[in-house]
Amino acid sequence: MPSLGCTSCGAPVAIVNRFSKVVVCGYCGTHLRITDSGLDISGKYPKLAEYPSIFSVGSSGTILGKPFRALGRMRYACKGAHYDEWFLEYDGGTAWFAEDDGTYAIYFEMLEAADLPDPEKIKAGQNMIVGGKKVMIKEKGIAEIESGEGELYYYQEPGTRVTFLDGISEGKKVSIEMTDDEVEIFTGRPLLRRDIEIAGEGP
Amino acid sequence: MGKGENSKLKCTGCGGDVVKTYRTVDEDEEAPIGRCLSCGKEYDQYTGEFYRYFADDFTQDVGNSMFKLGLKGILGGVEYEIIGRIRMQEEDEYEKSTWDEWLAVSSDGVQHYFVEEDGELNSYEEYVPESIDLESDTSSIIFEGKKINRDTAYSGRIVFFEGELTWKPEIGEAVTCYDFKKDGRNFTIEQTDDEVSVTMGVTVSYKDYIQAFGREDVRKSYENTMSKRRLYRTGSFIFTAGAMLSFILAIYSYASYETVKNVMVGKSVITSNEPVSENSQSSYFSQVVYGPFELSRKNGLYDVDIYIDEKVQRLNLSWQSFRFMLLKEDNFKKATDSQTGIAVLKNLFSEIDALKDPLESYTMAGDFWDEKGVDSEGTWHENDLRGSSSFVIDEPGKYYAYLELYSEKKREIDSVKYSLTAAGSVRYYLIAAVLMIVLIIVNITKARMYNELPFDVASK
Repeated sequence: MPSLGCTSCGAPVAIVNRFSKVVVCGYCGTHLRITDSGLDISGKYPKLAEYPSIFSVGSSGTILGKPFRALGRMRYACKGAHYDEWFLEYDGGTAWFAEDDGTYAIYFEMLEAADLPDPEKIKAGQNMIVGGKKVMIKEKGIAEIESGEGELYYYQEPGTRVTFLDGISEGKKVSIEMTDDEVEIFTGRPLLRRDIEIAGEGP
Repeated sequence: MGKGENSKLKCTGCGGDVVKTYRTVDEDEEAPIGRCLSCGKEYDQYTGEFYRYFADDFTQDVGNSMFKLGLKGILGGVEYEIIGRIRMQEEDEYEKSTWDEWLAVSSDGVQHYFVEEDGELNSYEEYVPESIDLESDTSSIIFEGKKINRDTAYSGRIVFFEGELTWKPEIGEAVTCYDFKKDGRNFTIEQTDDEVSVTMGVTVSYKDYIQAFGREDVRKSYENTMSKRRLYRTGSFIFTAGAMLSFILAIYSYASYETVKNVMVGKSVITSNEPVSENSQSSYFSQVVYGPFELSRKNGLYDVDIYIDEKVQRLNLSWQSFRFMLLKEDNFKKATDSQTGIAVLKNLFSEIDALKDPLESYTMAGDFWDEKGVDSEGTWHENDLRGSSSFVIDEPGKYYAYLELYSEKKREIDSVKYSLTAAGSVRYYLIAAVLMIVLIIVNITKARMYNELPFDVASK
């Protein structure tokens, strides 16, 4: 586990996952890009408000019986509410854990990019072919990244507007996130709270 | 829905004042609409504005629910908290036809919709289908291989919302809904321009939910309501049994109908077509006695049917009145000293009305008539050639029948005939059965409708 110093405040910053692109300093909230040569300041943003979550950075345990570790999260604001996407080390790989209004889902990256129609023209209920699979779009919306904490594999600057499309394909949930620069596509499934066991949490 | 002007209502087209009024939709039906006083634009139930103008009409009873925001309950070991609600109005109905969708989050991390409609409660949660195609063709959608006709879809309009919801609804927002069953499970697809939700649901018992969520007073009212409904249901079962028994007895009774034989034997004509005049009206008078014959049922019900036998002689545009009497043989013989001479009989029946103690056991009178005429619809011909009634005899035994006839014209005495039938008590049993059926309906209605709760609860 490499340990570096925050280039803003000098506090020690630990990097757990080799795929992480950004780490947020736990002391001063500076967003630090992880480069070959060390940490570059990406920007300084307010620390996340403490909205309740079942995880905190470093939480570990099992999801669906497989081990996980929560490395960091991105918080999104949408329609006057918030939701979190936690970056997880999960069963030897990576995953995103979405926590929204007390509901949970786990997503895995399906495609890093795909040709998609103009999001303006996409409507709920419409079919799209994504990675060769037919996806029915359930919901379309625009969220704004508020901030983040911990280590992040997927990263956008706070304030970035993300067009999201939630869909269904072959019995799985599909999540498409689009910014001006990037399109990422995930597939996943809903979780029950009982599917998640957090180490140190009482029965 | 009340008519009236509301200065807050503004036309979205021109900004003019909108008033609530009505539009005639069928011959005698009026549908409420909003109409702009300036440009005349109309807003009916197929416009979003309509639901803002008429919001009060759909939301007066929003407090009448077993749920409320913040209410918590534990069901099957999982805690639920009610966090929001939307109320939908069926778009095709201009009268109030609403349902409430209460959003709850569970400690298990699942969002539930508790849907209250027409006294039924359904619990829905998100479902991720193996396949779904809402664009399969113009006439249907496909859900996990099942074709669902688009004609089965209906539209709901949001008329009220509160609390936390997964999106920001707008009053009047349209939602297309498909309700269907697949593999014994209930599914609902709700589609707006921005979102499609797919949920799977089950009908749940109010009892369990009131136990889990209800306040003490609600629980008490529920128990009282259910207890009374059970009582009415029990009543309806008892009356059903009573009605069935009455029907069986009626059938049995009907089967025991028996025509009394030889009632017109032993004929003694006392008078035949004797001219009489009363109040300057002339007529012909006849008297005849039949019998004796046996009436064997004690306290039995008998039907008597007296009629003109047109095979013997047609009434032919005239009238004839009759008086029919039954006389017990013992009394008859006593009154005549067992003599059967015509003079004796004539004397007896000329004084029968003056006797201190009635000699007859039963009397019946009536008229037969046959008329024709012309009116605006043409020629008509009507008649009444039959009279009937029922009686009960106190004592079984042998009886005589006496017929007294007045007629406009001379008539064959044999043209007036009668029959006696030993009737069962079928009519009384039928009356009892009808009464029971009325009581069954009353009890079933009460078993469904009785309610001490401030909200509807179906009888399941």
